[in-house]
This record gives sequence, structure tokens and C-alpha cells, in this order.
Amino acid sequence: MDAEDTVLVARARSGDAAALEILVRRYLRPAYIVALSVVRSAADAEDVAQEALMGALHRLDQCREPDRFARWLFTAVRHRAFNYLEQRKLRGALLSSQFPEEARQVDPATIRLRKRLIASLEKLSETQRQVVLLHDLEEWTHAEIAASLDISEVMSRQHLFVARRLLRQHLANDFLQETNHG
Amino acid sequence: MDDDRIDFSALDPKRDAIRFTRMVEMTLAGIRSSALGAPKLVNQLVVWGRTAVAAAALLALVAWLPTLLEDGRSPSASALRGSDPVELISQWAKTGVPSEADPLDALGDLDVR
Repeated sequence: MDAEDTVLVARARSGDAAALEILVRRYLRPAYIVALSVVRSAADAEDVAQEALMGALHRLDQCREPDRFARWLFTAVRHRAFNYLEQRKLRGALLSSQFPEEARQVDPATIRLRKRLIASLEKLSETQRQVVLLHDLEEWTHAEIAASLDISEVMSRQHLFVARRLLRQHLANDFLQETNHG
Repeated sequence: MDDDRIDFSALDPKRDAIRFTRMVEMTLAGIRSSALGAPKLVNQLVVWGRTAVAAAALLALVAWLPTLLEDGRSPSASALRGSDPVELISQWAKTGVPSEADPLDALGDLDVR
């Protein structure tokens, strides 16, 4: 993926619209995952990912190591996500674990499931969230995750193991509570 | 494939293909518009610069015009005013006796007419 990225970044820098589109299609979801691990709201993560990707691709000439484009992009996404949280805190806005999708006719079961998953992800560290989401949702290998998050492959495996265990525990407890109350 | 995988599909933005395509398109449109925005700004600055230079040149011309016209109306007086007195006297000696006004004009701005 790194070699492909190097070529794509070079082409996109020289104004190749097709290369730019491939980069957007390839990295919009991973960018969303990284944003989600910080802002912990699906709708906010979508906005942050889009803005961060736009910003990063607009100043692509500042990417000094095109072979590590993912890592560079993820740093930009994290910065954008933290700024977003700061601004929201300043505005005193409510954490949108209330999903704006509710107004966009997403079915209630999906909204409930999302809330449950987000609540479980809250139990993890930011890196654990990124690793488990990149691995289980984006289907990246440990080598790819390690390179993009600047950690070792061993640490990536370790984070995944712990993250899954914590998530399963939390989701099981949550399910038990719901059945007891329901 | 890994069987231990946790199902995060509820959080997957690709779950809604149409919406995800719209997200991609919006992102690409944003990149294109910001890429076009920079040269536009530079061009605009060049245009503003040219306009400012043209306006300054016009103002300078307008400010200079009265002086030009005045000089055109009384060439003899302005020629006399500020000239070297030795040259003036030698010129009078060659051409004959000057009028009453010429020596006064040559010496200062007194309006004797």
C-alpha cells in the first residue's frame, strides 16, 4: 500500500484528478475511524474526516514522506478531531452521542447499536480504539496499522487483543442489563 | 479472515453506499474549490495592483495639469522668473529696453499688471 501511496501522492501533487479521487476513496473511511476514536460520535467523525482529508490533500506538498502518507494523514485527522472537541467544549455543545442521523431516517435498531458500540469504545484508550476499528472495520493488517499509527506490530496485536476483550465484556454487561430491565 | 472480529458495521459509513458516495464527492469538490481558490486570489491581487497603479497615475496627472496649463499661458513670465539676472540683463541689452513689468517679474511674484 505504501508504494502505491507514493505513486498516488506524486500523481495527485502534479494535479492528477484521478489519483486524488483514489486517495479520497481509499482514505475517507480510515480517516473517519481515526476521527471516531477521538470524537466518539459517528456524525461528527464524518465531518471531521471530510474536513481533515480535504485539508491534507490540499497541502499535499507538505507531506515529506509520501510512502508514509497514512501516518501523516492520521496525524492531521487527530489534530482536527481534537480541535473539533475543543471548539465544541467552548461552545458548550452537547456531546453528540445523540445522533443527528436520527433526523436522517436511520432505523432505530441501528441507532441503538451505534450508541452501544460507541459506549463500549469509550472504555478503550484512543490507540486501542484506532487499532480495533482499523483492524475489524477497515480490515487493515497489523503491519499497515503499525506503520500508520507509528507503533510496533507486536503492540498493534496487543492493543487489538485487549480492546476486543474489553469491548466484549462491556457489550455483554450492557446486554445483560438491558434484558434484566426489559 | 479473523473469527474474533467485532462487528462494527453499524458504525461503517460505507453501510449507506449513496451517502458514502456523496461524502466522497463533497470531499473532492472541497479539494477542487480550495485548489482553485489560491490562484484566484493571486490573480485578484494582481488586478487590484494594476488598478491601484493606474489610479495613482491618473491622480498625479490631474494634480499636475493646472501647473502645465499655467505654464502654457505665460511663457515669458515663467521664463523670466527664476532665471539668472546676468543672463537676463545681457538679453535685454541685445533685444532693447525691457518693459516695466519684466524686471519686477524677474525679481519676484509681484503682480504689476
